[in-house]
Amino acid sequence: MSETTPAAPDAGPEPVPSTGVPPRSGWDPHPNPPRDPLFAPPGGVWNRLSPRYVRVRQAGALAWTLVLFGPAAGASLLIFGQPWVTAGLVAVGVLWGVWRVLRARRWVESWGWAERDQDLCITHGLWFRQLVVVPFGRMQVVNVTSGPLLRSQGLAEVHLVTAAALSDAKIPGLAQADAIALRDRMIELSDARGAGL
Amino acid sequence: MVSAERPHPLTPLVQAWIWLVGAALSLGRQLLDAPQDLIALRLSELPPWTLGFLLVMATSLGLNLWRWWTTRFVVTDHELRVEHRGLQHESKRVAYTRIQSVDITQPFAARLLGMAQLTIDVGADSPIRLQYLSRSRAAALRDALLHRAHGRRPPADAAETSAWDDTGAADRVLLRVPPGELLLGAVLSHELLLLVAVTATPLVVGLVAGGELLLVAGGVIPLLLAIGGFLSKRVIGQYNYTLAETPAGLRISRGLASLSSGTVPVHRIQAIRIAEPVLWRRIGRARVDLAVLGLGGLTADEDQAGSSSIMLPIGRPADVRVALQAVWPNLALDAVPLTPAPTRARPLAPLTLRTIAHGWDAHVVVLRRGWWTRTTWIIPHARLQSALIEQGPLARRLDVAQVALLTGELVGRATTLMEAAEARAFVFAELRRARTARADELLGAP
Repeated sequence: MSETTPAAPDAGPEPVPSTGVPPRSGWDPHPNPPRDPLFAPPGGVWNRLSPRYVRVRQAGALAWTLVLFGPAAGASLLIFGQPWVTAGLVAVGVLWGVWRVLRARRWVESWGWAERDQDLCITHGLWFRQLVVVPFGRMQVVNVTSGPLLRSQGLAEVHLVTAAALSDAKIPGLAQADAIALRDRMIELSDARGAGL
Repeated sequence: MVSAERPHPLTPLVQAWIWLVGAALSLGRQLLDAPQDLIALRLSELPPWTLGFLLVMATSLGLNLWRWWTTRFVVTDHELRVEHRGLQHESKRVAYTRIQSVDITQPFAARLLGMAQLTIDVGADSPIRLQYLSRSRAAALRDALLHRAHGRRPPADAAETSAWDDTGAADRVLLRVPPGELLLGAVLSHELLLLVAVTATPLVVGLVAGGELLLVAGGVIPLLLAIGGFLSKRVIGQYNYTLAETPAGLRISRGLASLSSGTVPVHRIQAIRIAEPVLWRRIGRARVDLAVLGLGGLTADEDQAGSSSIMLPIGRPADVRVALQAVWPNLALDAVPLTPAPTRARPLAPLTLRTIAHGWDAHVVVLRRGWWTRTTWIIPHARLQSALIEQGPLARRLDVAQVALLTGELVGRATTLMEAAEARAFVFAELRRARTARADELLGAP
């Protein structure tokens, strides 16, 4: 931090990621804690999503690919009448679908959440990374939702609703029991640490 | 026990006024066309569109009458209750402590008849609208609600208000925006530039392509009409813009045809945004927006009736200072030290890098960004909702990150660029400041 910022009294020591987790051998794209200090967990390690969520993502990716490219391929056959245009589209679709399916595992692994003393940190993203910090005192509602696909894998999604819709956050793909436990803890903490609007 | 009240009996008339006028015009024209039929006027001889108007008018009147008949509201010591007992029964309760803002709107027809709509925003999904009350009842109810929102008993003497503006005896007018300023602001606004660009393009193309002069001159007329429409709409909507300090909070009233007046308790203001479009900077003008929670009753549109996020549509730096003082008397905006974004972030913001800066003092955090419209966000630490760090591939290569601070949505995301290491320290330090500020506030410190 430069000299010009009035940081001295309250900038304090940043929560430094220091854990006793032994370094893993070999190449690990998602070490915990991550190598990038900007998205390191604020003390300890990130809690990761359930590995079963990968399958949900893969199914979702396949479905979207079919929805996007299926009709497009059909329409191209009708409009251009050239088989190679359609073949090209199908090839792009297949590549896109394969890419998404392969990518799903890494994407799910990129998510992490951690509770601090007074707030909840959530990180995710591979190319475009994000770290959101929501104080417990700001949570108005904590929702647990789960659609048929999530339910089939015994998973649920936790939504954190704050008073400003822009700052809402979510943690997808937690085991149902974990999600409910997290929600109950959040509500308890938001009551205890709550501060009006 | 307090008895239930109905809205004003003329409510259905005001709600259906557009159809009333339509039917009257249509009938009147009929009579003018054939005055000899005046007495022997029979329904079957009327043309179908007049009949249509009459039918719609009758339906609308009937429905609104039914709705009026089934609506009641009660003001008790603890809550406001609005009951609809029509086909579907509905009872809404408003706890006084949840009130974010109370607005009085007088649409044109209601204003003529001395009536007003009361909109109570509780920050939840949709605000509660009471249509319509007599103007004095609306003002009295508004004052009572806002006093309750502050946890005080309402005063015994009734407030007064007028069709012209909405200032009572206890109010102190801080700012009034003259029409000339509004016009100046509208003329130099980006919206007008865009409008001119869009409408003038075919004209210029026509001239260059060698179209006939008469034809091209004809194209000027819609251009002028569009510009005139835009300017008059802006000036009429913002006419007589008044910012006043009242015992119940900050009051903003405006409008020529329809009058809107919103009152926001000062402690409900989440953030303030100062916007300086590039042309306004040349003449030293700025616009101030404020954010409260709950979007329902608010519109970001400057021209619509209803309350808006605008606190000051256009003003000199001195006016901006007055507006800021009204919300946070201790704020010294110019004294907040700002740190510019690092120069190596230039590829992320090639044109605007010089304008990006952030800083904070004991009470507020200030972010500034933008060249086309330079935007300054002022967020009290105690009002921060959440904070986030974002980094894309390019930013990662440059070792910088974007920081966003979130409060009420009307002022949007406040974003700034920082060095990556600094961003993380800033976000966690800001959350700590927010926590301390909230704790102090709860303990009753200033």
